[in-house]
Amino acid sequence: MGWLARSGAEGRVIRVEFPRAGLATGPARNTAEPKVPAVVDSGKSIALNAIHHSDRPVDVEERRGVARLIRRVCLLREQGEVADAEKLQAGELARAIRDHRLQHGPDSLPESELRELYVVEARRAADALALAELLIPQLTRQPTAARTRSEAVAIPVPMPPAVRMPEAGVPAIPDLLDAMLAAERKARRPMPASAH
Amino acid sequence: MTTATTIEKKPLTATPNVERPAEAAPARRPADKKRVLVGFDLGTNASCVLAGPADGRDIAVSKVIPTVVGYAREGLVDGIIANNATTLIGDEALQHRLQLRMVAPLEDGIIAHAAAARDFIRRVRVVIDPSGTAEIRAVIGVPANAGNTAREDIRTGAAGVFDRVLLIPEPFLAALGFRDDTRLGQANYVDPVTNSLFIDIGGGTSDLCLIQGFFPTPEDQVSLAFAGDAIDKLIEDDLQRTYPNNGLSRATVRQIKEEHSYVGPIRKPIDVKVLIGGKSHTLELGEVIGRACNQLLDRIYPALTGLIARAPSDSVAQLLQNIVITGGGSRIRGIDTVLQQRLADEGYESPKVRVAGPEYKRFVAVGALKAARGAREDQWQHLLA
Repeated sequence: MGWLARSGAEGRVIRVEFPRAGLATGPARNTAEPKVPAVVDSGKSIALNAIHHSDRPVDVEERRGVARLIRRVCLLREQGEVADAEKLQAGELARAIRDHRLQHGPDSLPESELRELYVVEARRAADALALAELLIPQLTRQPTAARTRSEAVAIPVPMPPAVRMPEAGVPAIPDLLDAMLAAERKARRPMPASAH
Repeated sequence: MTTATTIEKKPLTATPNVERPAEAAPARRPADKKRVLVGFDLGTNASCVLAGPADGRDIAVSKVIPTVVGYAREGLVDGIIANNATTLIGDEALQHRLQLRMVAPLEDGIIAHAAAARDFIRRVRVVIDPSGTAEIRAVIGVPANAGNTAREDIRTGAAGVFDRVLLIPEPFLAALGFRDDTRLGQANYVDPVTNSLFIDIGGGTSDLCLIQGFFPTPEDQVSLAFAGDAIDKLIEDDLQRTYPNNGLSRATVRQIKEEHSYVGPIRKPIDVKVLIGGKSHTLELGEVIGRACNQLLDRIYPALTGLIARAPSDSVAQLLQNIVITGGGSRIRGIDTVLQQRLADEGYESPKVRVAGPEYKRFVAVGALKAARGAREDQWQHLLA
């Protein structure tokens, strides 16, 4: 259940998933007509600031709460905890959205806004994990590095340069390879036994 | 004829097939080494290798090599094989098949005999870099959706032979190779990497891939373990049923298929002259060949429509204009027109299916070399020998 999208900042392909309860549902791409029009298009940027529909402090805080829950869902997915992600999505998140709409009207937190939130948070979760993959080996190497400083300098951990968006209409090979390598990394992560 | 051979002296006492690497490069600092980039289509029946310097577009090596390794049989008379070589690959091995134990390193697109695969790759390296001193970085094609084990087998086979590698799905490389870089940006040119559906019919697998400007996800690719070899087997079994003990080798059957293959309505007669028991016979094989080849079509079609259904609806019209068949299977007569007709009959809007053309053997390797030249330093994967 979900859409494939490209994050505006990095040109990465992101699968956007939706909670089972209370949100738009539909299989990937056009195998069935989505209930709401898709807001993401492969290769096009997506507005990253999705929390902008209301200025009321309570409303803003509630939206932030929803965003935090979505971030947790995305992080669980990135970590391969699919079952836990779905549980959170169908339970706490669905309730938060329901309560928000009950309080602020059925048009509040529209599906398009939720999709944008998913795109943003999925990217954040992916970036956070990628950064963690790079930093953890460095941090765990610190005590040794302090003792043998020259050795640590000799083995730098390469930081991949920022992913560039392909030029209009012509995908650049390094960007395509970045996407491939990211997918490979993801595939190598162990999946939980309960995942389906 | 393209041939790749490494000459090796028979060891006096060692087991013939247990050999040290043919090329022991002298120790040099990496900075001293000449860097050679390689596009390598490691195919089940034939492999294509292109190599050139990192800068520019020059291609120094371009070879299609049958993916076969021959090991000298015990007790071979001296001088039967030039320089008493113990291991040959490609056409050279095929020429000496009577004196060699022939091993096909790959089956169904993946490595089935690790030692033979390693020997093959090692000798391919000699073709690329006879001096054995260059730093070799290779982009190697793998079947769509090749699993981790299959990928790891390739890495293991290449470890100690190539310095760095990147494994990329073959249909994607085919699209990259098929792309006409000189026409990019022209209004009337649809970049196959931007919106196309590639069908790569090889010996072991038929790979389909939806390519829409970003790297295809596993869901965008389908790999069917039914391709040229499976057709050979069907024809062989059919002939064996009809003409038991006919003695026709798989190579002969493949030759018959390559000459007469077709899809669509059964064509008769297709008379084929063969030698059975030393005598010449003419067999009518129209139905046998047609039945076997149509099975390929019957398997590819649902995979094709499944991938079309995955494409965003506003991209499908253009996608239907850009369905490309490549690999050895693209030579099956009528495969483009029959597939196109089947799509049209089912209501797809003005589909256009075309075959990649006579250069089909090279597209994956061309794409691989382009990828090698485009890859950033941090994207290459190191191999531990």
